[in-house]
Amino acid sequence: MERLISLSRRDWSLNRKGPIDQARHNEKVKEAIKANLQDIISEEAIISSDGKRVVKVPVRSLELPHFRFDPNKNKQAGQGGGKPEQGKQGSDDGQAVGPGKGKGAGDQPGTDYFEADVTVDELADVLFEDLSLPFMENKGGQDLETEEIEFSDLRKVGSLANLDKRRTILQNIRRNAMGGNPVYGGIRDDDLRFRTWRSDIRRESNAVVIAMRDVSGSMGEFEKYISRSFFFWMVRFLRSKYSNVQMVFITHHTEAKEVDEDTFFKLGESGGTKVSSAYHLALKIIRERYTPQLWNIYPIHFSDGDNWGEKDNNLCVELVYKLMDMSNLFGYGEIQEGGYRSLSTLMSAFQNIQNEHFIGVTITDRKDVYPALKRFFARRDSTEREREAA
Amino acid sequence: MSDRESQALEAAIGDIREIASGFGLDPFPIHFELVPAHIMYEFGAYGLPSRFSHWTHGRTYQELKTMYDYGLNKIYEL
Repeated sequence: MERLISLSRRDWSLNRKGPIDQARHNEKVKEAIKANLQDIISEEAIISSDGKRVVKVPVRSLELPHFRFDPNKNKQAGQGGGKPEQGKQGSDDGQAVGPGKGKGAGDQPGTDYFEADVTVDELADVLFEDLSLPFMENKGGQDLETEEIEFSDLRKVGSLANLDKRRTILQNIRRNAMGGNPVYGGIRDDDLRFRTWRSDIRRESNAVVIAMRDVSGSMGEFEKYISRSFFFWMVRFLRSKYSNVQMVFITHHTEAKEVDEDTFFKLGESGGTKVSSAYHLALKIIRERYTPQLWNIYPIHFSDGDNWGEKDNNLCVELVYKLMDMSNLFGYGEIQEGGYRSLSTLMSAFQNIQNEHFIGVTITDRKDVYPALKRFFARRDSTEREREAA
Repeated sequence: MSDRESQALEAAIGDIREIASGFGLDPFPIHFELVPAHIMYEFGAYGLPSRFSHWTHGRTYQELKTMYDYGLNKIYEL
């Protein structure tokens, strides 16, 4: 009789298509995040999170190719109620045709986009991959530790996951050869070789970062937000890459004062602006606590550039030269909302400083935060000064 | 699945068949295959067994499987 019912079982463990495609998808998400980093890192949700939180990152670039109506046809057909300028025109690369953005109501349906869950730490890993403190010099006092793990040692005992197969087989053949038969076979415990790691603690010189922030009344919401988000990432970067770097926080309006980290990020004050006060304080702190002979010093200042008077600007230039003499890099970031630029900003006073240890960056948009980070902390080696010293 | 469970399953399949024929039904021969959960969700995500590989399938798979892992859904019929 024909068998009417059958039940079978087989080993499905090699069927990995789902997980493989899943991994491919995650890889694509990671790529998309990397490509959108400069948009992502200045999102409000991230800056205000405590670092452990998972943030949702919209990934719009994971769209599939699909047919859509010719966006230019819309004009002729005269669809929709909004003014045409207010909706975004679709571009040729298949980017979403502006539905929800802007003020007018668009006529296009929204595109479903994928939201990836990323922890701030994961973001930081991608972000800080190629940042470092530039012009780091060896300055005697050995305080700054960076730890690296390296699989460089072999042992006879260890975890099976770390088994070095090649060496084990070699060892086995070697032992067999001693018995006159150089072939592989009959592995004994004695043949096993395991890779073990050495944690390589590299000691680097002392480094101190002096973060200066303008908290004067002229700093609007946007300026405050940008400087805060820049310093947020800077502090995270320094903490994750250098376990021992010191940070000094200075806020200033017409008077500068040293504050702790918490206050530095939260402080909102008003008043006029006298940038030179901050530089004076920085110089004083350097003189009192961080001798340039022993410390790598990185003063970084963010302001809207609205300084009080030409006289103070000139004084600032003078002080910057003094600071540059003592420090490895002087960073100045000027925030100008929407590219608005008044003529007498600090940046125009700094324009004539030609020194590779001075970096001035103008930020006009949220997207500029990441490029600014990259400019300040690009990997650079000390050349000029070392040549001078030699 | 333990041996006892699979024996019970086999017995149950036989019983069901008998009950069905008691109602005068005459079903076609049926082949059952026991698969682990992740295979089930793979079929669910791909729409067909052994369909071509693509990352969008991987995305659906991850979604379905994660929900299953957290006990939020269960495929009864595909």
